[in-house]
Amino acid sequence: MIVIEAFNVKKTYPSKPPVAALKGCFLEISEGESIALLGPNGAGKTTFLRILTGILLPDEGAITVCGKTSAKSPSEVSRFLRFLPEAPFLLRNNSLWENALFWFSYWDEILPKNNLTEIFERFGLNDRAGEPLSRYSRGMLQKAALSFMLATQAPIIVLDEPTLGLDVITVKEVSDMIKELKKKNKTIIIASHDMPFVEDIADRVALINNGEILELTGISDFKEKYGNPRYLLIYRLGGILRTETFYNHEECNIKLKSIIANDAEIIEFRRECDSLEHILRQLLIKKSEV
Amino acid sequence: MNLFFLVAYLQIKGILRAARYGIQILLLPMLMISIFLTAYLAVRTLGGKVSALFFPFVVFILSATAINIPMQVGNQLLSDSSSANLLITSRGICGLLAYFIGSQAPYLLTTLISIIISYFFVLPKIYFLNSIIGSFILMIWCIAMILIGLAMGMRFVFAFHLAQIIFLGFYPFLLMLSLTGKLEYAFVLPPVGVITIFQNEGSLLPFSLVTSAGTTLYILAGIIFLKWAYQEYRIGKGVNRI
Repeated sequence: MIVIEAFNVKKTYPSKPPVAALKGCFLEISEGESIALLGPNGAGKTTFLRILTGILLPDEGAITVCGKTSAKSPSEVSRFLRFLPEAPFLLRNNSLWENALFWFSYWDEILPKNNLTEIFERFGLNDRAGEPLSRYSRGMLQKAALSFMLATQAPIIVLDEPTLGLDVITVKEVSDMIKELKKKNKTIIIASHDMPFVEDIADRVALINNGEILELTGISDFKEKYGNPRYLLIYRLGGILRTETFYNHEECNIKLKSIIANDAEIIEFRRECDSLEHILRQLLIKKSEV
Repeated sequence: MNLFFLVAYLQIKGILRAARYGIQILLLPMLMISIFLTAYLAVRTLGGKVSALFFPFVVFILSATAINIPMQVGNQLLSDSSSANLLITSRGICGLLAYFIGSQAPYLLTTLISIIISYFFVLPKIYFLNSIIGSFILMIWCIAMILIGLAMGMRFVFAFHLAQIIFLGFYPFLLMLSLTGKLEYAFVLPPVGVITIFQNEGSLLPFSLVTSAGTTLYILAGIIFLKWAYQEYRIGKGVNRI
């Protein structure tokens, strides 16, 4: 079932000179899917998210969330959707639990105490849950805001740079929790520059540049298309360890047959692609050269 | 309403917890009292009637607070896309208003304390019926000021500084105007009318009706202005511009 549908979304900020932030975006997101919006700074990702959440009106086109148009009924859209902006808004003089009470009341949800306790525990926040957030570090504030997102009952979660300021262990914990949410059929939309994180959790990527969606595809298809897919073969022949890379399937088959015939020991054989980070960098460099 | 009380409770708890804000919370009433004392001493030096100061002072601080808080806090919160995204889209304008007023509840409480302190300074004569009518019109006037203040905070980038100009320039002018007793301004400037109602004994029904009509117009203007500002904000012409 399609839960989010963006149809020809255009937005130009009425500044002097006007800034065209989105130039006609089309996007469909299914229930239970996780999609990552990728692109350089100023590409239009945040504008897209702001139109999606209903805070901005598009000049043309519309985004519907569970059948409700975000431009016409932002409050109704917000029933289905929770948004974590890049810099989370938290009550700094209040404790973690007080913040939870505030946000879940603001969202008109019952405070999920058990669920939150478990998430705080996994993030290592339980011991300091009674302290005012003014004493928290940047990463801890991010964890606090993320906790609320991970505990909400809303079916769609939008995260803008969720791993900003987080250590590697916490990033892994966030990835695991997002995977758990996906199992519960929640839809996740992420705008991020953290490519390993995106690779770990996203089903699809939307590459945005200059207000246009350049590519919208499954993450493995995306890597296959742009990531120089190749076969890596490591084998031992006559006591010598050799490594060979093949960009051609046929060539690789011939080689495999030949080394098996020669009684070589295959140490490793795998198919690999460039990392998402590398692909993105290359694509954006090419685009800027054009 | 629940949200308003929750936000007010969390704000008070947060302020009490953070000891350094203990002083900050006293600043607003201290400012109010210092304005009052300046006027009080000036009137006394000139040989005027000090009790006549009380009602203009009450109307001045409540009106000024009602427009200043949404204008300044709204301007700050809405120009930051993080808070604006969360506050505006979750509950709409009503939720935003509940958050604003709730978050400023500690300051409103301390403002009320400053009014009580000033009352005991001058012990003005209170006329029961007129005080009730005056309070009612003043409340409506404050709601209009909140709507206009929030609209301005949402629409204009310079609203934060404009709020200070209104506080320091427009309302003192109004205060002085009311002391001269120019009743013909009641319709255009409801605070002047409200002060007159508070200060006079006997039936002031026609005058009260004229002031109420003026105040109602401000409410209508406030609603229209706020709707317009919200629309402009969502187009990207508000304080959220890039």
